[in-house]
Amino acid sequence: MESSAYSNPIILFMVIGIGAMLLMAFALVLFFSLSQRKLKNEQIKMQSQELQHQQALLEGNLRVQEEERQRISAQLHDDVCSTLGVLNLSYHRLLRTDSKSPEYAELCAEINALITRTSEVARSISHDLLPPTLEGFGLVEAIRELRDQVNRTGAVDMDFDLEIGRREFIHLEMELHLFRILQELTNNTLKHAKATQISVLLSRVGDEMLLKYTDNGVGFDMETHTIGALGLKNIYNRAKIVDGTVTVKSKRDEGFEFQLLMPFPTTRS
Amino acid sequence: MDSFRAWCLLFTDIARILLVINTVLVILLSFGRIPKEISALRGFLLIDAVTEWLAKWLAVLQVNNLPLLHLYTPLEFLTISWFFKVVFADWVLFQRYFYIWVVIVLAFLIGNSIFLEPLTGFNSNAKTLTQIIIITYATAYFFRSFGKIDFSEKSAFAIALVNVGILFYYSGSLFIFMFSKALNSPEFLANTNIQVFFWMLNGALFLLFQILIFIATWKVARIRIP
Repeated sequence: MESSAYSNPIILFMVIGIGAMLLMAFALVLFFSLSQRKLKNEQIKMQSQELQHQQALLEGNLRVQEEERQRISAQLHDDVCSTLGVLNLSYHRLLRTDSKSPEYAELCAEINALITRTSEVARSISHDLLPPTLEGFGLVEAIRELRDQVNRTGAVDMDFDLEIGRREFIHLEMELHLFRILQELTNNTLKHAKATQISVLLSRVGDEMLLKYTDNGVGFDMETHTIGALGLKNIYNRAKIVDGTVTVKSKRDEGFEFQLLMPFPTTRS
Repeated sequence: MDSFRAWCLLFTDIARILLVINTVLVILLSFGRIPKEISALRGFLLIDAVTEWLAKWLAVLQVNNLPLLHLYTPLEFLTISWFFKVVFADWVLFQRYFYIWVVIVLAFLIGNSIFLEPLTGFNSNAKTLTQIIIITYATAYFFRSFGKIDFSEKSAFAIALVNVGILFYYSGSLFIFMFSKALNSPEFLANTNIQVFFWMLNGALFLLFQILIFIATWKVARIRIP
């Protein structure tokens, strides 16, 4: 080739132009490919973390379920079964007793007392499994009952504000989860917080329902306490079941604030 | 010079054969259940294959084949735009103004051939505009797909591969077609080596483009869409 043709500015411009365009295309494809790979790796990492979290939640759920079964089993064994055993003995004693003797009347009274006691224990177990107020009158009444129970202890003053209509609660399962969350929060406050005031608020935020719980107790340092260490794992499990988002705020000596934002059962798909 | 010419012929001829294979493959597979994006390539491949072989035949007959380029450019724009219409199915703005956009560009391309650049010569203006638009389409594809593509999915990988081919071929050949009229000037006609070098480069890029389309088609030929 002649050197004059090569030194022609058009040729030079073309060569530089082609080189630059190919370089840019290559850079774009390379950037896209590398970024895509990086993003994919991050997604895999996040999925793995999510899986671990789900696993932990599942384990937590199973543990709670097992503990609950053990508690019911112990209650049935220690209270109901033993009382029924005594009742059985008393009944056989009664069969052998003369109906006109004073011992007969005593045995009847004893049997009656045993039946009453067994019935109370059975009711208590049933109440623990599903509070009758919650089942019969709904979440709002159940929270009011819980508030009254807490206030009766005299240790704290609990108030409850309702800013949504009662008709918006129609889902018993969801109500039960919310109630259990509140029960666990109040238990935590009563056991550990040394609080004098508890506030519960149920309100609407856009299309979502807000459950806000605050106490003025000793609080804790968020940086040094994990969710598991705070006994909040079960609460997180339940929040997850109701598609809720939990926010916890606390500082040492500055109380505790818990917020659960969740879709209304009527608006849930 | 002979060496350049030989490479140029080799690249172009292999690319032409591969183009026919790709066209037949895509058309046949379109009757099956391959991704609609790959099926949308059939129009472009068919137009390209017919034009390439017709151009070669006219060249053998030593008849000026440049009027074919004037016919090919609007069809190329139309068919590639159609491919991207299918690829950008979720881009509302593109879908909304697609037909208006196509009509405007086609009007310019046809007007250019009628009024500005004679049919017997290169249509650098029209070809440059078409190529810039196609490069923009491919670039937009990469930006829009960022973070959304799962390369382990065969159809997504195949579409990305076709776009890589489009981006490389049209980016590399942009300046060749932009200055194709200049390359045909007496100054360069006297030095065919330079001309052949650039057309060899164009042939190599076109071959790369066809290889990538072939791999993409091969990838999707094995998948079944429920």
